[in-house]
Amino acid sequence: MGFVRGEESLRTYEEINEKVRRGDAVVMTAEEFASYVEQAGLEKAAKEVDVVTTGTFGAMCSSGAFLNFGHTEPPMKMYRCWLNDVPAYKGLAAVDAYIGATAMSETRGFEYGGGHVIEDLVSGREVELRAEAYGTDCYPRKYLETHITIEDLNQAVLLNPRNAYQRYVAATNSTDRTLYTYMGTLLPHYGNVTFSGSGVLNPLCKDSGFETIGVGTRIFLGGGVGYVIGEGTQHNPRKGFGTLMVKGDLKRMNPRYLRGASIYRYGTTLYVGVGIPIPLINMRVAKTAALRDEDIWTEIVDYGVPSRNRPAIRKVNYKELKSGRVVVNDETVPCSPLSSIRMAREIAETLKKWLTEGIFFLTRPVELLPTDTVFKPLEVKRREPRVREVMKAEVVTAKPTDDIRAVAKLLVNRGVDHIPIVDDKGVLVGIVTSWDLAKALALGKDRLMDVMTRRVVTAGLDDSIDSVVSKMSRYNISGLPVVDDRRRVIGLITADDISRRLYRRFLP
Amino acid sequence: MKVKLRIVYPTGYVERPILAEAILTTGIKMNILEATLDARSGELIASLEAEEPEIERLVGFLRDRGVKVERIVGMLKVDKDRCIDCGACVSICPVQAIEISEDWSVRFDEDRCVGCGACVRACPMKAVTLV
Repeated sequence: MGFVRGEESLRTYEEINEKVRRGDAVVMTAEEFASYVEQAGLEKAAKEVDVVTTGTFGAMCSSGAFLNFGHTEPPMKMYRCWLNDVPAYKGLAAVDAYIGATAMSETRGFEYGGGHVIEDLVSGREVELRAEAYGTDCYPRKYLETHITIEDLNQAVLLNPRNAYQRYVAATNSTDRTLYTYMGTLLPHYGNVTFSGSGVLNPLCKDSGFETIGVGTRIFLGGGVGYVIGEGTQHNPRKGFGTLMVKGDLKRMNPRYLRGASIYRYGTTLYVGVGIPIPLINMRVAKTAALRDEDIWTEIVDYGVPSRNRPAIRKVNYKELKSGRVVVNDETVPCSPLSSIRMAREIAETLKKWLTEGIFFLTRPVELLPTDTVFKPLEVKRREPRVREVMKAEVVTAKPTDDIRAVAKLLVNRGVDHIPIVDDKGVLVGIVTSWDLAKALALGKDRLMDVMTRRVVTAGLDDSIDSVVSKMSRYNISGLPVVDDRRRVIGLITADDISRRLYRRFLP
Repeated sequence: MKVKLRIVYPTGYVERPILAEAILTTGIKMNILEATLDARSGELIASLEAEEPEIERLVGFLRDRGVKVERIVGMLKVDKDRCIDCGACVSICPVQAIEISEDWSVRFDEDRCVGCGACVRACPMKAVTLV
């Protein structure tokens, strides 16, 4: 491919900035540009338009701020510190700290976290600072409790290791219970679809070749000015999941574009507003900047599968996602975003205004971002036991038509608490426990089928013990039949088996 | 006028077709938005449109038969300063009372709301409350 990434064959940064200075740069938001290209054609549009502005406003968990408190009298080497009861990272010099968006209040939990602290600081509100130290000859103070505002801080720098995902998967849920995830509330049986990102306005989608966005790119960040300082963590450009690491002066940001958030049963985070100007330096950039919602694809993924490899249900584009209805398994279900598209639009408009008013200038990146990094998983090297190693393979089973008294006798003779009920082929049809049988006898029932539980929670041979324990606690049960792929009973795993196994781990 | 009623059946009243009698007697058409029912008691949330005297008559009819009735008013409260129009509450609303408008702002239809609280939990900004 004989091209130089970042080549300025249509216009240079200096030419654009000169036009910005004169007040006659032609700037369009990504939405405006995409429809202008549809109407006028790419060639003409790319010749006329200098800069395309983008925007996104969503939950970005990998966000936080470096703060410098200044020294107290006598001084203190803070070892641990809290802002409004939210712990901040103190593995830095005496009065430097990092407050992360997902750190949660030790007194208010999910209600309030680092994201809220950042919003409170930017809003100019007083924040309680509490710190502990072990005391040294040079830093004698051991305890501190005071109030601070952002004005009191020497530096307050927003520094987000991963922001502005190029795109993100959409979420749905195949299970029979409501899931509360970082993708919001997911209703059972594929009841809804949620998605994040602004599609046509998404910054990295508009320069998906990473030709203009690089180290040193000046951007809109949290209502102020920020800079791209490198690729974000988990940057995965080959798969279309690029990310950015960004920083900016928190003191000059606006709380309208930095909002603390609590995601139900997930935790706290920060909604960050990011807008990036895309200078149309060559035709390749113009082409990606012109992508419409229908050209930007992602996948609907089943969050009901508790795995890092969640299965994709289907491909979908942002036009369908933004329509509010999405087809999943032949059924049309409601679909809604988690990031604010209205705010994303506002950010792109604001950036456009800054450029046309001549108060924001573009920077040529000092280094372009990598386009070949991959996102590796973390392998667990310590061996974790699987169901097959802990279960009992010899299972006492019964038939639905069996007499209850006979089964009760079996239970006593074999010393078990759970009896899976199987049909002639060994396929699981129910389960009874000693408690069910006691109740049945007390009520005078005769046949197993009248008392057995028909909806049985089961385990697979290679499931982790962890997943079995979580099922036991979720459904308040103490034993699960282990079944093969045809639901034939091949074992039984009980809380007793697991506790025995755990006990053995601690024996010499 | 359009109203929503919460109708609570105490123990022993669940088996009687009280609501059906009320509908047949008053001729008021009702839409049941939510119903929870077990062997001992039950609760319904119904919306209906009728003139004030007719509504009074319906409420009286139900109360005479031992059923508790109360009007549900202004249940959903949205703090527009906190709301960022993200849409996290939209697709989970069981009665489609929340929708995204053309300009991508989120619109709440209080007439449709049944006060289930799903949006209160789902709101990342804690902008929605039930009153």
